[in-house]
Amino acid sequence: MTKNFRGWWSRREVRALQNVSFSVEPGSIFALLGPNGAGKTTLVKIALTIAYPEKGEVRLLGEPVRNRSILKRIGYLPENPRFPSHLTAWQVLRLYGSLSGAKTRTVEENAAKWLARLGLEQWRDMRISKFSKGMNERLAFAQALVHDPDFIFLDEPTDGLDPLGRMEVRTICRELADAGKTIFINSHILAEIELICDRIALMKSGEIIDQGTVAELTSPRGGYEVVVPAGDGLSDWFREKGLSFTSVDGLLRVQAKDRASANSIIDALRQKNIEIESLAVKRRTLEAVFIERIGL
Amino acid sequence: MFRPGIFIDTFQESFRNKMFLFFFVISSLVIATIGLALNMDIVSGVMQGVNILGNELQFDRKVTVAQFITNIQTGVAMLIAVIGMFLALMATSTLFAQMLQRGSIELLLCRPIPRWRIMTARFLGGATIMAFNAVYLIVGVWFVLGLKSGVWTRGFPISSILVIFAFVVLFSIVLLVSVITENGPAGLLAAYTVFMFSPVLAAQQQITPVLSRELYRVIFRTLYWIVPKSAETIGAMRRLIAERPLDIGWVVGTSSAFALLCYVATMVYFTRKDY
Repeated sequence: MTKNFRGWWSRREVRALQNVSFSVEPGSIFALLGPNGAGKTTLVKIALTIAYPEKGEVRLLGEPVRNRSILKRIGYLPENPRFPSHLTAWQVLRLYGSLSGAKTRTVEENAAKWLARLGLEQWRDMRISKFSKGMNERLAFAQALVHDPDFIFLDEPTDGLDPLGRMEVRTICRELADAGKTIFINSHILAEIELICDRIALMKSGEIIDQGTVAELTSPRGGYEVVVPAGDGLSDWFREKGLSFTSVDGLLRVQAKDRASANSIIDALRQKNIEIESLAVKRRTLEAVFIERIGL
Repeated sequence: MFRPGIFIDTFQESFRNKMFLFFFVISSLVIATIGLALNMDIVSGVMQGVNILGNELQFDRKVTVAQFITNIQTGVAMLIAVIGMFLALMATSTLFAQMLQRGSIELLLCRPIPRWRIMTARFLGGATIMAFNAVYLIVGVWFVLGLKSGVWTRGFPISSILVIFAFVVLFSIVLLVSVITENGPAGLLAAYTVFMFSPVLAAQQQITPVLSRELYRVIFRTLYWIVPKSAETIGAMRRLIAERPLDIGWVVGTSSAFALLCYVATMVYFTRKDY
């Protein structure tokens, strides 16, 4: 898929998306990561027919989005959602649920369920002009789910939420995926993405530059860390062997560049009757991968 | 399948922001004032005097009840058509721009509803609110005056159709300009300009001959044919109330064509635009 933006009066062209192509497994949580202006929101907007591609097409749940009826099965939480301020939380959910083509009964059942789940039950009849940013964000999340969609786009879903709210959103996302729903997340909060996503695509300047599972993207070149209690002469012994280590809280953390090195260090330590406290595979964080791949 | 969500939401919005209430209260006050404060002294179908809020008014010449009622109805109709029109356009001018705000429009466009239906529902919502108020006021005044005088004119209640028509035509300008500029005041300004300029164009038969060049005359005549004829539509209300012959086929025709053009242009623009 390709998308260029042109001004009305200028010939200047902005390449928003260039030959973007990927698929999302049903029942998974997929995240699209990239710096500001990478084209993430444009991609989601095209998928939802809010904007149009120049070339290519988007298929959701096996159907082209040109057939708008597929949008009945799609939920969307936009970045910075703005609801009609004269409505109450209940009216917001009824309005958007009915616009999505769901039956009134389904909408009302789901509205009650999600308002309770997201801690808005007691505010259901309050006009949303009195809502805080966090409450508005929770309502927006409920709005995306009120018609029981099968595919849910979440653009910065935890923006404006407190840590408990973020955790609740993560839990709900996982529950929805376990129930067979597909979740597509745009987010800058990499630590959260790392916690809940099954697959990730990295986007830069309108192109997908890498994609895979969290493990695939973060595992290589991480190395190993062997932790042992600090003992007499152990530090000197590590220095003699040319091993890199740090001493923290009575523990020595020895770095091994690969599995063979880690095993040989463990063998040597065991021969000296030194007990191993722990052994960990050192993974790069998603943030490290992001910074490396995006080239910041 | 028809989903009335946006249409009903437009009503709810006008209720909540007191727009509907404002017009309803003003209309009710006008009806109540005529009903409670106007007392007519009628002898054999001829007006002898009128008492308005305790002030006596004597007639120097012979005025029939029917003439007096027609004059009041004409006055009310002109009030609605001019002042009411200004207020109605002002009250509804933000409907489109608010809907197009970032974070709001995305929530509508991601639904399984064609874009033209979203905008049409909003347009019809705004027009219906104002139509309801106009009909309420005109029919209310007509009913009260009929009860008091026994004169039941046909033209006055029917004239509500003309004022609604004039509003819908100007509202289509608000629609077009607001959607393209995503700015409510810009749409309002465009509609006001056309509305205020329409009496000048309506006098084209008097103005055109005095223009110095043929080019100016052509431009003026062309403008007259293109721009909606709000002044003439409102003028037709007076003739309708006075039960004089009404020949407004071309006024309604060209104004409708203009409104339709605005509507179609808006739908084409709106359905193709990236948000």
